[in-house]
Amino acid sequence: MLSSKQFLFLLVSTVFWLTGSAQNNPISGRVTTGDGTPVSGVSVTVKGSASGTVTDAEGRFSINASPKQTLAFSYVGYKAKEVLVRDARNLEIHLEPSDNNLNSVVVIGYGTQKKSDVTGAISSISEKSLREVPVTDPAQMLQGRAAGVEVLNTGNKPGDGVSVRVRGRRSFNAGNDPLYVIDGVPITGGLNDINPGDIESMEILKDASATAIYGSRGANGVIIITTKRGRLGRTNVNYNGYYGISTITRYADLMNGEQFAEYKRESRRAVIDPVTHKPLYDDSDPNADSKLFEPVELQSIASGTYTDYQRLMIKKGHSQSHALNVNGGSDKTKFNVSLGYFQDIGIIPGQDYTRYNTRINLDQAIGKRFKLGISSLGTYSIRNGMDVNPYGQSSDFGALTENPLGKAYDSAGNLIFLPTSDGLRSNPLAELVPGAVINREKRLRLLNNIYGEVELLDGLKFRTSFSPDLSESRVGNFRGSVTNTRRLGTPSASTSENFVFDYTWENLVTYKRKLAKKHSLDFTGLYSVQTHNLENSGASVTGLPVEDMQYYNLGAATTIGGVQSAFENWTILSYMARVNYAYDNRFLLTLTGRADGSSKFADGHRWGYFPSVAVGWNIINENFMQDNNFFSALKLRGTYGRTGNEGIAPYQTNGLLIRTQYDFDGAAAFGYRPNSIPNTNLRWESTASLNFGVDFGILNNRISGSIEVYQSTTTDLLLPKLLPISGGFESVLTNIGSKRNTGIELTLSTLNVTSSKKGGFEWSTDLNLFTNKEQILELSQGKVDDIGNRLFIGQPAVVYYDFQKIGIWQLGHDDEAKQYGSIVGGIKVADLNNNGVIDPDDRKILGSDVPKLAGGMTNRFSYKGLDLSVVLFARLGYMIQSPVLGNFRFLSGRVNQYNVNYWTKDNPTNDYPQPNSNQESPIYGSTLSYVDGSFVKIRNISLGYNFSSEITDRLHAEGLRVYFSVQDPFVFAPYVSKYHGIDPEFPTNSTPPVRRFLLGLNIHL
Amino acid sequence: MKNSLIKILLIACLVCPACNKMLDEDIRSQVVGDYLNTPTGWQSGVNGVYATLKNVFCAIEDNGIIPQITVFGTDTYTNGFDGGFKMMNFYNSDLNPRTNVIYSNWRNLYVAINACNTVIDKADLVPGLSDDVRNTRLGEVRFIRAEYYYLLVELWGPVPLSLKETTTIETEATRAPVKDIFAAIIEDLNFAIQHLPAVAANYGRVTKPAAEQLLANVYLAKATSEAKEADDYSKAADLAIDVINNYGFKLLDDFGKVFEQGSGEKNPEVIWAIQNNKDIISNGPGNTMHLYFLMKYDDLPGMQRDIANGRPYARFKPTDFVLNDLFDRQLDSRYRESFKRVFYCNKPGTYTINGHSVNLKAGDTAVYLADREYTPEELSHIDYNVWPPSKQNERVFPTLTKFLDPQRVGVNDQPGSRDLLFFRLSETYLTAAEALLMSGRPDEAADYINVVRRRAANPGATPEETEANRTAMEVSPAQLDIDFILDERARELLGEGVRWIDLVRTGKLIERVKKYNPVSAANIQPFHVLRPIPQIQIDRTSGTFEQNPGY
Repeated sequence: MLSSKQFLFLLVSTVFWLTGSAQNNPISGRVTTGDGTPVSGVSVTVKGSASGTVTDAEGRFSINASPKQTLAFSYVGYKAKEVLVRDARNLEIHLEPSDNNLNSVVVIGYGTQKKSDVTGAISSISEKSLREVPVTDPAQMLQGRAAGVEVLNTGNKPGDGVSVRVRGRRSFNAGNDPLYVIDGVPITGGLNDINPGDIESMEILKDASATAIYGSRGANGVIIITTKRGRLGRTNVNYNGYYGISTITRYADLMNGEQFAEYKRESRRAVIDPVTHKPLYDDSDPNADSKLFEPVELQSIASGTYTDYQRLMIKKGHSQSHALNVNGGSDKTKFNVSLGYFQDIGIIPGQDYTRYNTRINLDQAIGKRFKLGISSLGTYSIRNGMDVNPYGQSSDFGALTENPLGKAYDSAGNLIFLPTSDGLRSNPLAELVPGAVINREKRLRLLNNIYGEVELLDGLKFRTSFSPDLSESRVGNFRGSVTNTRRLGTPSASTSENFVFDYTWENLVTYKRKLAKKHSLDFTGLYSVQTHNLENSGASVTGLPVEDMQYYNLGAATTIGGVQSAFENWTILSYMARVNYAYDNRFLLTLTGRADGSSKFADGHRWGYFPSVAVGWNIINENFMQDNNFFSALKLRGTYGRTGNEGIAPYQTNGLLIRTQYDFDGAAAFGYRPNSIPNTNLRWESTASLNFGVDFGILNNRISGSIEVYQSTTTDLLLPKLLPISGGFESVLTNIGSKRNTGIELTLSTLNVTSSKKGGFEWSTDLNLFTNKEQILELSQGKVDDIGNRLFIGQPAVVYYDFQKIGIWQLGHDDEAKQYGSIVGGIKVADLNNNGVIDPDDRKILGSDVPKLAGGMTNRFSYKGLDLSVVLFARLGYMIQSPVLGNFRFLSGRVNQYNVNYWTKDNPTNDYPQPNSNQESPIYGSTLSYVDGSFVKIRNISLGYNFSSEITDRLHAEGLRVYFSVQDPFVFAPYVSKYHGIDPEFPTNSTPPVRRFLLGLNIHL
Repeated sequence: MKNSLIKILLIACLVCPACNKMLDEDIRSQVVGDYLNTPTGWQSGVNGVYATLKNVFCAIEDNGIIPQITVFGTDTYTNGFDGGFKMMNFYNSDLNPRTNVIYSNWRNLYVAINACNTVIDKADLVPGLSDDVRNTRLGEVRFIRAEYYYLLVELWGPVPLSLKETTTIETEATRAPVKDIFAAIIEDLNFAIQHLPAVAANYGRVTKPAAEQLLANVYLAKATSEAKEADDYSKAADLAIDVINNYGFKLLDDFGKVFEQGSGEKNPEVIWAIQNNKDIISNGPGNTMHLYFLMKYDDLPGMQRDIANGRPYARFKPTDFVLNDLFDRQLDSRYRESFKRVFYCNKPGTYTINGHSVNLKAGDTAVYLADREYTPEELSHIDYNVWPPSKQNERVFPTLTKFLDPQRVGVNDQPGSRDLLFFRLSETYLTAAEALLMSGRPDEAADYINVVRRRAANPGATPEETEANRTAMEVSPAQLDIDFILDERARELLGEGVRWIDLVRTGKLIERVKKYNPVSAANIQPFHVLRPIPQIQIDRTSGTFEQNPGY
C-alpha cells in the first residue's frame, strides 16, 4: 500500500502534470539489482545538468527532472543505465552487473558469492557472450570462451553434441566429462535438451576448492547453468529468433574418374602374377583396360564423364530458432516462462534435428520466512539420421569411397542401385530416397526441481529440494529393400527404448552472519541422495511384408532377430559442509568437507572423503592500496583439495557372465560363460589439486583478468588394465597408477577503445590462453611403461605409438625393402635400433593428442547502434589420427579415396606408397594416418544493429536488434592444406562440417 | 526454531541407515558368476562352452580358425581375389605378430579355455547333480578343452597352459613345454573316454567315439612332436579302429550325399558335428563357411547375387594341383561332387556371349567352368559363358560345394545354419591308415584307406561296372606312403579346415607348398610351421614371453 505521504505526493504530481506544466518535477524511485536487492550509493544524475543525488540505504532516491530529460544511474560493478523521464513519477530501476568486474555476483556450488569474495578458480560466462554465437547445444557456447575449458564438436550431424574437457583429462576410464548442474540440480548426461536461450549464465568451477562441494563428481570440473528467473518489476517479453542457411565447408579432395582409373591400373601394375610373372595390369597388352574394368567403367573412361557422389549428395541445409520468453514478478511472485523451437536440417538429406522446449520458473514467497518454487524443463526432440552415414568414410560404403566410374543414374534419370559389380557397395544416393532408410530418435525429457525454503532465524535458512529427472527416448530404425544393408532383400526394422528416472533430493542448511562488522561467516551444510534408474528394451526383425510399415509393426515380420531389455541403477549418498569466512573484506577462507558413498564400488570401499581449503587475500582492500591509481582490483588466491570420480558403469565389482547361443539338434541351448573378472577392491579415483590464482584489474578495469597456475594429481586411476588374453580375459577395471596435470591459464579482458559519449566507437577484447600438460606418473607395474596399453610414464594418456614412416622404398632397393618388411613402392619405416630388421622395438611415440597451447579470443566492436563480434579459437601443437589415410582398403585400388600423391615407377615420391590390389591396406599403412592437428578457427562473426530508442519507442518496444552472423567461416590447419582433410576438429567426420549464415532478430517488449 | 532444527536432525538420523542400504547394488538384467554354482547355472555354463565352438571354428571375419588360418597357404588352397587375410597365403611380412587374425584366434581359444576351466573347477561345488550327469558334462567340456589345446599346440607350439579358472588379475604367463600340453590333453581325453556315453542324450553333445577320434588325432600329432613316444602311432591306430568297429557308424554309399543340407547333416557317417540352426536367436554367429569358397559369380553376364547362389567372398581358390592332378577324374566321384561349376541365369537379359548376342532366360545355364579348353569354333555354338582352365583366375574358379548354404534368409546374411561336420568316419579310416602306415603296418593301412577310396568311386552304369570302378580305386600297400595319405586326405577332406595342421604334423608343409602352391612358394620359410605369437600377448605379459623363431 502507498503511504499517505506518497499518495499525497502522487496526487500533487498528477495535478502538476494535468496542468501541462513542463517544469522540473520531483521524481522518486528505487534502485535494485535483478533479484530485488536494493543498491545504496548509486549516483543518479540528470543528463545535461549539474543536478544529482545518490540512493539511500534502501536504494531510494528523489530528484527533480522534466519529462524530456534523461536520468543516468551509475554504480561501480554495474552497467550504467539511462532512463527517459517522460511521465514517470516513481521509477523502479534494475541495475545489471557489468561484465569483467570483480564485484559481480557469481554462482558457486550451492549458493552465490560476490566475485571479490571468491577463492576458487571459476570462469564465468556472461549472458552477452552466451548470446553471441547461436548454437544447438548450450555447451557449444563455451567454445573458445574460458581458459582451461576445451569444447570440441563430436560430430557434424544436426543434433550432434560436444565433448567438454576442463583442464584436460585426468581419468582413463571413469570419464572426463564435467558435472553439469542446472539451477542447482546435478544432472546425468549432457546439455543437449536445454534451450540455449533459457540460460542466463554459465560458471565453470575448475579447481578443487570450487568443485569440492560436488566432491564425488567434481573431479572433472563443474559447469553450473543458471536459467532465467522472474524479477521484480515490469513484465518483459522477449523474442529471439534466427533463420540460417548452411553449406558444406569444403568438399573432400577425392580422385576424379580419370585419376581413379589410373590409380586402379597402378594397383594392378604393382602385383606380379606368380605364375605368368607379368603384372596384373600389363601396359603392353592392348586389352589391359577391358580386362581390368567392367563395361560401365570402360564407358565412363571412354566418354570422360564421371560421377561425383559427394556433390550429388550434399545439399543446402537450413536452421532456425525461435524463442519466446516472458518474465516478471511482484514482491511475492516471480515468474519466467519460455517457449523454444529449434530446427537444424543438415546438408545430407535425411539428417535433421528438431527440438521443442518449455521452461517455467516460479518463485513464491509465503509470508516473510517461507519461500517455495519450481523450475520445470520440458523438452521434446526428434532427430533423424544420427546413426546412418551415406557420406561415409567406411571403405565398404558411402559417397566418399564410391567408384566415380560407376553411374548414379540411368539415361531416364532413375537411380541405379548397383552402379558397379562390387558386391559390398551400392549407390549411396539410394539411402537418401525418402522412406528407404529411417533412423529416428524421439526424445522426451522432464526435468523438474521443486524447492521449499524457510528462514529459521535471521541468516539461518533450511532448504529442501527434490528434482526428478525423467527421460524417455525411443529409436526406430528401418531399412528398405533398396538399401546397402538389405541389398534387395526383405526390409528390416528395429526399435529400442530407454526410460531413465533419476532423482536428486537435497537438504541444505545455510547460515550467514556478520560479526563485529569485520567478520563475515557463511556456513552451508548438505545431505543429498542421487539415484539413477535405467530401463531399456528393444527388438529387431527382418522380413517385413510391406515397406510402408517402417518400424511400426514388428510383429508382422517373418524373422525375429533379437529381443532385449536391460536394467541399471546406481546411487550416491552425500554429506557436505562448507564454511566461508571473510575478515574485513581482505582475508578470505573457505573450508569444505564432503563424504560421498557410491554403489558402484566394492563393499568397504564405497565411501570417499573429499576435503578442501582455500584462502584469498584481497590486496586492493588493504589500506596501503587505497591511494594507488593503477590497480582497480587485485586479489591472490590459493586452494588445495581433493575430489573424486566414480564415472564408471555400475556392477563392475562383480564377475559377470555373458549369455551364449547354441543348440542341440535344433533345440535352443542358451548358456553363460564368464565375461569379466570380479574386482572386489574397486574404489574411488581421486584427484588432489593445488591452484594459485591472481585476479587483477588495472586502470579502472580497462584491463582485467586472472592468471591461474595449477597442478592436479589423480591417484587410484580407474583403468581397464589390458591383460594377456591367455588368462581368458582381455581387461579388468582396476585402480592403478597415477597421473598429473599441470597448467597455466590466462584470462584477459581489455577495453581497447572506449568512448565517453554514448554511441561512440568502442572496442574490447576477451582473450584466454591455456596450456595443460598431462603426465602419467605411475602404472600397474610402478614407473614402468605399459606398452600393451599404450601407456608411457611421463606421457599423456593418449599417445600415438607406432613405427615412423621415413619415406617410400625407391626402385633398386628390392632387397633392402624386403629386409625391412616392405616392398619397392611401399612404406619405408625407420629402423630405430639399427638391427637391420623392423621389430617391435622400432616403434616410438610419434605424438599425442594434447595441444601445446589452446585458447580463444573474442573481439567486440560497437559504434552507434552497430556491434560486431568475432570469435576465434585455436588448438596448436598436437597430433590427430586421420581415419582415411592408411586405413582399411586405402590404396588397394578398390574404392575411391583422397587424391594423394602416391608412388609409381615414374613418380618416385616419398609421400604415399604405390597402390596395390593385393593389400587390404598398405604395409605399415597406419604410419600414414598420424598428422598435425593444429588449427585456428574463426568460430563466428556476428554483425548486429540495435535500433535507436526513437524507433523502438514508436514500436512500443524496449529494444530491437537485428544481426547477421557467419559460423565457422574459416579454418587454418595443416590437416586441410597438406593432408586433404576436411575438419581437424573432428577428423572422423561422418558428415562434413558446415558453414552457416544466419539472420536473427531480437525483440524486447 | 529449535524444534525445526531438531526435526531436521531427526530426519537425517532416520533416513541414513535406510539410505546406506541404497548403496547395495541392484543387479537385475545381468547374471553374476555365482549362477554357475547352481545346478541349472552350471549346465548353462556347459552350454556356454559349446557356444565357444562357433567362435573358434566357423564364425565370421575376425573369428574362426577355418575361415582364416587352416585352409589357404597350403598345397590345396590359394587365395581368391577378395583381399581378406591374404597374408596367410602369401607368407609375406604381413604375416607377423601384429596380424589381427592371428590374435583374434589366439584370443578366442583362450577365452574359450577359461570358460571350460570355470565349468570344470565348479563341478564339485554344485549341489544336487548326479555323478552321472556331472561326469558326462565334465567329459564333454574336457573334450572341448583338449581340442582347443590341440589346436594351440599345433598352431603355435609351446603355449601358456592353464587348467584352472582365472579368478584373480593375472599378468604373468609362460610358455609350457609341448610335452606338458600333450599330457594335459591326453588326461582330459582319457577322462572323457571313460565317462562319455557312446550315444549322446541330445544329438550334438560330445560322445565317447568323438573323444577317441580326437585322441587318435592327438597321438598322430604327438608322434611327430618333441614329446613323441614309441607307442603313439599304435595308440592312435587302436583308438581309430575302435571308433570304426564298435559304434555302428557307416560310410554313406554316395560321397555326394555326405554334405546334403538339412536332415542330411545328420547321417551315419557323422561322429560329431558343431551345431547350427535356422533360428537366428539361438544360432548366433552361425556357420559362415558358405562365404569363403564361393567364386565371384555375381558380376558375370546373366548373374546377380541371390540367396540361392550365396554371397561370394572368393577367398579360397583351389590350387591347380587340386584341379588338375589330385583326382582321377574318370574314377573318383569326389572330383565331380566337390565342386560347383555351373551357375544358372538369375538375371535374364540379352548379353554378348562368346562373340554373339544371347538372350538368357532365368534358369538357363549362364556360366560354366570347364575342365578342358574349347576351340573358338566350339564356343560359337555355345550360348553361355565358358571358362576353360586357362581363363580361370582369382575370381572365377570351381567352388567347393561342401558348405554352400542356399537356405539363409538374407542375401548378405553371414550366419549360416549348416552343422559343421567335425569328425566324419572317413577321416577315422584315414587316421587309422596313417597310424598303421607309420607304425610299419602298410598292409592294414591299405585296407583302411581302401574303404574310403572304394566309396569314392564313380558309380557305373551297372553294378559290375561300379564294382570294377571300386576295385580300380584300391591301392596296394606298396603304393602307400605319407604323401599318398596326404593326397587322400586332400581328396576326402578338401577345405574342411584340417589341411594346414595335416601338413605341419607330417612335416610336409614347406615341401608341398613349394611344390603345389606357387603363390605361397615365393615366401614360405621353414619357420612358418609355427604361427607368430601375437604381439599383444607379448606386450601385455609382465616379464618376457618368447616369440616363435623367425618372426
